[in-house]
Amino acid sequence: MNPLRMAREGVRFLGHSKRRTALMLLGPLVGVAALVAVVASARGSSEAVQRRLRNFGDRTLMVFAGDVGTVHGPGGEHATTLKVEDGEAIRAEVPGVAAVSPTVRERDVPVAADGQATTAPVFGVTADFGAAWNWPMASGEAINEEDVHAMRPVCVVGRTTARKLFGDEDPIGRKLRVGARKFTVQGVLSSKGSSPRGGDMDDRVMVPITTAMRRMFNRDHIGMIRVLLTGPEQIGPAKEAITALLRARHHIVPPEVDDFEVVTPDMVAGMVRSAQGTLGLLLLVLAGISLLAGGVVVMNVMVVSVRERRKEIGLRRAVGASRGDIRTQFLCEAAAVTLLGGVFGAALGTGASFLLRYLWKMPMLLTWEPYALAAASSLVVGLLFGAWPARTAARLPPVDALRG
Amino acid sequence: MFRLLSTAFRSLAFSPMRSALSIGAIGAGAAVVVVMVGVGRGAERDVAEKIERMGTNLVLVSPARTSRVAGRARQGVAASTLVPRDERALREGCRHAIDAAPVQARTLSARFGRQARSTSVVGTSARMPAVRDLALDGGRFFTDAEDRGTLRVAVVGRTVVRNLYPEGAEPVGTMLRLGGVSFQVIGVLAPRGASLSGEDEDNQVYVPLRTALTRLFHVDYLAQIVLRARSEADVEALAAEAEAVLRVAHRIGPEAKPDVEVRTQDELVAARREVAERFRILVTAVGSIALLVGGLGVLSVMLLGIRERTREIGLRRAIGATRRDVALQFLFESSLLGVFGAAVGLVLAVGASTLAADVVRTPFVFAADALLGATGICVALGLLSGVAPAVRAAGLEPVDALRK
Repeated sequence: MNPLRMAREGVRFLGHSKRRTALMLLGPLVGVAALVAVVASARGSSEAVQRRLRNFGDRTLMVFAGDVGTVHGPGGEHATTLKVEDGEAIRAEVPGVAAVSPTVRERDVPVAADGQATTAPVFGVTADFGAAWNWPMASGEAINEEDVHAMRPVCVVGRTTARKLFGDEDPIGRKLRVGARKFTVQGVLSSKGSSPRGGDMDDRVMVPITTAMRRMFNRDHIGMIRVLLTGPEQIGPAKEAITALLRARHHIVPPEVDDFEVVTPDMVAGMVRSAQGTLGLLLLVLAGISLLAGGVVVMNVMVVSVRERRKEIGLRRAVGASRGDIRTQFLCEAAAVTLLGGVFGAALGTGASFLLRYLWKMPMLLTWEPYALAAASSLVVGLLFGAWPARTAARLPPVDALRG
Repeated sequence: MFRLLSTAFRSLAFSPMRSALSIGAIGAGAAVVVVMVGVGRGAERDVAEKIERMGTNLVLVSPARTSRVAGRARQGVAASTLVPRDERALREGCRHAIDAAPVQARTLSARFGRQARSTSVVGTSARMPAVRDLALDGGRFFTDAEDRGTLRVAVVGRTVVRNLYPEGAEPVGTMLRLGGVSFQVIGVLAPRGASLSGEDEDNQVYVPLRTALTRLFHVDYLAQIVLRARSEADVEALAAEAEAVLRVAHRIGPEAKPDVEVRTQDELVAARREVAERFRILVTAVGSIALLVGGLGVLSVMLLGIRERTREIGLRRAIGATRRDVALQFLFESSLLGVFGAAVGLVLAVGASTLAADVVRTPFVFAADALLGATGICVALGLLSGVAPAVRAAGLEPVDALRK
């Protein structure tokens, strides 16, 4: 018999005993559905966790104005050679840069509103601040390009500063005196809490960088540049490119000492990297287990269903089918059932994933891998676990088999 | 009762293949759930530990800055309300704290040979490495005895080494001048890079607190006390506790404004909680999918197995068994299968867990609750799949059943 006829025969036979076929379908169906749904949910979660971890800045660099190296007395004097244009050059010439946020900072600036007074660090920032620091607004508007361009007297305040000056009232639209100038509060930053060194990151006033440099501090240099890269793998090359670029712009030839410093987020990046490793492993292990579990279900169902059909085998042998015929028949049937089950299973798994996503808002991420894996595995499992019972069936003496 | 049990046993032993399949299905179902939940939880703990290493457990206490003096905004004068004995009071008085370290810091000029750079000099106790998870690249941290003896020893960060020492030089054992005072370098910190707030965490020198206070800064108060909470869940409780302890120590009434500020790293804590939440969802999703797979597998094998036995039922009825007898027999068999399946599940789960933990090196947490739940459900499914055939079999006319 040719294989095509075999397959047709097999499918016709499957139609005969609908209940058994349904049960046989159940094995690969459940296995594949589980694989698809488990992988989708594990991927979704791992993606969400990684996104959260990346917020810490595993793909950022800090460029600081260098230390001038005072020998006597307290340090803290910084070079005055880092400029806003250096930031623009980095954005234009260094590959892999997503955002650049040059910043000018002044500590302990007197800030007052409605009779409440305090001191707070004042930061002059550009519109890229939010992107480069991954620091969204809690309410109101961030500093935008228009503000920077027009040197507007507007500001954004941190939570702590807002509480100190305005108590529980909404600070947006209120006037604020920073140093000697009046500003309008146009937004409140979301809360970041304490910095690792213990500083309160929410105690700050941010103004357009042009306003800070020209109208407040009368200064043409900046303190630091935050650089956001397109990926963590860019950190090494970007550090080298930025160092080379700034050396060229500042006319520094080694062994002359750099007048800037590039700091990479080693610990943060290491944390994110190793957490990603864990998540990848989790995915692998979960996929492996669901594959295995599916395989076990398939095998059980196949073994039982072949055992049920001893009589049929006997009959076929008695009317002239050879051992090879029986084996091929069983294999074809097994392959047909598992493939069909696999297709239904993939559909069920996809459906379950969508259901989980929309009903319980679970993060699910569907990719092609589980489908490919499922297709391959359901075929392999069907043939593998079909082969053994098929062989047993083929070897049965027809008389015994007929007796059942 | 006993007779029923022994009948069930005999009947199970009569067809070992069928029984083994059913037991295997129940066991595999339970084991899959346990392993999946365990792997999910393990990954959660692993990722959470990585985030915690960045300081989610830390509570930072600093003196409150009085914002106004005589109606005017006051410039950044450090308050002197936090003193070394507060650190002891906090360490001993806070139930939620497992460790604490005092901090007083200044930016000073560090000089080695002809090179000089400003760096942050941090005076602290020997407990700091434990509190902040500091790792050393070489040498050692200073001891309590060195702190008590106000010895001039220093542990330096990577940036300091890079800035001051020639390439490849070994800093441990050399003499370093900090603000004009000679210190012996006894250790080098492992690099941490830029912190979440962008500061270079490697541009630091740690020296004993007493040495720092008496020989360098000439003050007797602290800038900060770093407390480490038992776990991330205790952070808020510890913050409240720390404030209460210091109110007593500083004799500040419950209505008055405290003279210290207690802060946590909100962003890190929020990330840590979100990761936990994501994983809780993942484990629920994966666990319920696995349970579904296991359950369906069990059900399919049981249904197939029991269908085969209509003849046996006819025979039993024919030789005098009542309907009740037959139904009870089937139920007993299913429950026996369930019990054995649970045992197999336990062995499989433990085996697979060991495999996952030791061979594949997945972070793994043994999920005892999942084992209980999964076993319970698989056994219940086994029983359930016994009920339908039991009722049907019991309802059959003996003659019909025999004929089948």
